[in-house]
Amino acid sequence: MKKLILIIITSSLLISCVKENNGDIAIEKDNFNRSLILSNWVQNIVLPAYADFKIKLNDLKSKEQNFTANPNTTTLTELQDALFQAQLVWQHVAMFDLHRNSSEKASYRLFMNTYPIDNETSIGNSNEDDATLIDHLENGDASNIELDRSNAIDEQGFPAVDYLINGVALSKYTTDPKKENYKAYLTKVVDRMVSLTNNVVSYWNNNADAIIANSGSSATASFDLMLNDYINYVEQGFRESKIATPSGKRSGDEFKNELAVESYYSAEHSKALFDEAYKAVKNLYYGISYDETNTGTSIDAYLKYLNAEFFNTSDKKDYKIADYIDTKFADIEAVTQDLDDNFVTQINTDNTKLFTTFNVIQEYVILIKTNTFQALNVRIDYVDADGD
Amino acid sequence: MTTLKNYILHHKKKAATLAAFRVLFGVLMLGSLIRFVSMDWVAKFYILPKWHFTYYGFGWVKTLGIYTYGLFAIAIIACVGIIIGYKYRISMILFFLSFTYIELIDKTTYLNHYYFVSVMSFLLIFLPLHATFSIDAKNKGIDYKYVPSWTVDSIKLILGIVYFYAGLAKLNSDWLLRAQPLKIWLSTKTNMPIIGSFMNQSWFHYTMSWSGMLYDLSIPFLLLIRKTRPYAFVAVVVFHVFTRILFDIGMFPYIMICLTLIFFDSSLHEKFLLGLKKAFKINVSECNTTVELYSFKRLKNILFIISLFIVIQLFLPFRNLCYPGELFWTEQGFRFSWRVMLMEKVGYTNFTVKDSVSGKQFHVKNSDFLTSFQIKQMSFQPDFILEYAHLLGDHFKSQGHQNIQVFAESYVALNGRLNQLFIDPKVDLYKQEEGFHNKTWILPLNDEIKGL
Repeated sequence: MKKLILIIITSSLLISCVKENNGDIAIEKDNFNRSLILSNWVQNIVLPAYADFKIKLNDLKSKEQNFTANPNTTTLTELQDALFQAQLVWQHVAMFDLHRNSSEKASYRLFMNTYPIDNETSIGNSNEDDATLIDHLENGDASNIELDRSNAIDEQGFPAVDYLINGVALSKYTTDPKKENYKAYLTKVVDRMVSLTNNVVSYWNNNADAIIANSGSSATASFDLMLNDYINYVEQGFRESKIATPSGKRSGDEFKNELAVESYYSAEHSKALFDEAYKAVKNLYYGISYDETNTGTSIDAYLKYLNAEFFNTSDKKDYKIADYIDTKFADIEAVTQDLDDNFVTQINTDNTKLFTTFNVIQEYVILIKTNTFQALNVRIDYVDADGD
Repeated sequence: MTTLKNYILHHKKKAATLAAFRVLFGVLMLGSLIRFVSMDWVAKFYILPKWHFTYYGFGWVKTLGIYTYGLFAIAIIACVGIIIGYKYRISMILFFLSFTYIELIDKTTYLNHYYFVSVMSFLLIFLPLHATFSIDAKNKGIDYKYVPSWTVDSIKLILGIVYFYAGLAKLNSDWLLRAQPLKIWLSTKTNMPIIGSFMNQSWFHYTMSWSGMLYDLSIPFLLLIRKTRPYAFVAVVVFHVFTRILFDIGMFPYIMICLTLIFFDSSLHEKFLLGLKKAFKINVSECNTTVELYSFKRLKNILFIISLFIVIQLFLPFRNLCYPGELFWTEQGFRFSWRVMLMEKVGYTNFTVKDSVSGKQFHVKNSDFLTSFQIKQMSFQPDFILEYAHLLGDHFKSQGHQNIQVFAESYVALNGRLNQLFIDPKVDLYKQEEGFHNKTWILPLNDEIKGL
């Protein structure tokens, strides 16, 4: 009896030492310090990328001011170039979304870069207003447009600016009767991009330390959240938006839609933007800093530390997951190097190459979401439910 | 036959054993329910999801929305009734019904230990756990000293089945020869104090796998034998505490530790009750008539129900033998069979809805319809995939789409194997029906898992 009581007391003591793994502070579960990855990601990738992006957006703003004050071919060319530079850097920050942290209906990423722009009148869809972006410009009044509604995501951001400066003639800003409306809309869109970005940048600056410190392993730990955000971006922002939608991969070749190519009105840049986004996707995996001068700790190193393997059922052997992921990146590069600089051209000449591109990206996504997430013990459900 | 009759009619155990079990069970269930509510899981699992995954044949069990809290309230009140032994039978029936109803709302949350609670509480409905040390006994003025042995033994039998069957399920090549899934699970836990350094070592994975198997298979017997019982209980405590430290398994370890106390001598249970009496200053009135042995009013009926129930419990876990293919892969007959912690399985499953006439098709964004938890569970379980395909088909039909076909693109990785295609992508799942027949649209695993 006494022994029994002793056992119960010791066990309840032991049990009470076990923290419930549900709070914000979670148990750190392996010797590999996840805060090394977090600190590399935040300090060397997220913050520098956002700092650069802010500079590029401020430049876009000043070029926009020059242009609206004095619209001519010189100021337009400068503005077009500033847009392209900002779009390039955007590819490096797009994956660091904060949707869960805000109460906004649509995420920062969706407000910044949803394409194609609203160019069709939707019938019977209560989520859509009837006006297209062109309606707003030609018949509306820019000052009345509410851009913070979630159904206005395709009437603003980079795609709208692209249309406004690459998709219409310069005369819309000089001689057209609606020129003031065009200018006002352009200013409004750029101002909103700047202010949205300022919010996100200050979020990251203010919370960087806390994000790194939340280095445990649970559905609410930074590593799990950032890795989920990352792969969600690879799926939605990268694979779907850039490849699947314009090529019609999901709906069949006959439903391809060149208007859905990123930066459609300056589509000669579409491959460059894709390549830059791919670089960002790859750099995060390997932990390569934004300025590409050093390689820090990241998923690759973590997998190697854990000696994570998968069992190949066809030859009954174990292989390193990290090595296999290397081959997936090589596959993506082998396919995408043959793509045309202009995805509109690519779609209309050889759309199957985009299908192949989709397939190789998909293989990477599946490998991350299955074997890699298993090996790293990453939660994909955002909920710490019990198991058994 | 006469021995059996003798056993049923004349073998007896102290009623205190059942009373102590009742109090522990009630307190543990109360704790589990309160924990569940305080984690906000009622909303997350039963109120917020747009759609729910139902059990075959139980599609009529629907979420009650915000009133699901009412179900929890009923279950919690029933727990109090169980603990104090007030209107015990009604309390136990209410607890069984409300708890089981909650579990049936959505199989996304299925856990063997929830099933265990339903199984145990069903059995307890028929047993006289209120024979002594209860409000019922006090009100009735009758205090029973003994209950028939079979009442206590049936509880032990259910506990024994849980362990032994969990052990049998571990007799497979993944568990014993590849040390999976423990290898995956333990490898990321190297920073634990003292044992952390072993966590990424092969010999440790194999040791844990084999000792887990031996533990599950032998523990019911070691608990039954008087000589080994104290050591067995130490093993129970160590085993469950260890699993609690390593894995997020909620209340289950505590429940098992406490409930296995029923294997001990009734003197322990009497002391436990005495302790409670002292601690809570419970005054057992002297006016109670003490009756020697509790006797059932409808003994034959109750024995029939319990026997049938136990036979079902013995055979149900083997129903997987009726299906071809790898059990872990197809999961046909996987649930309700004490197959615990056997799989690390994760899937990536997406759907295409197609108009079979026009050829128009589109891709479904799972997060538009399911919670992230549901997406995770749906992605590797065929019956979820089928039900979701039907929900999608019905949804888009109601939106005016016609000639609907639903196809899945599904990749699943099981126990460290490289992911492979899971569902035949050419099969229109909207035409497939759920049932007890073999699901032919699950592609075979490119490997063989030997064993049970």
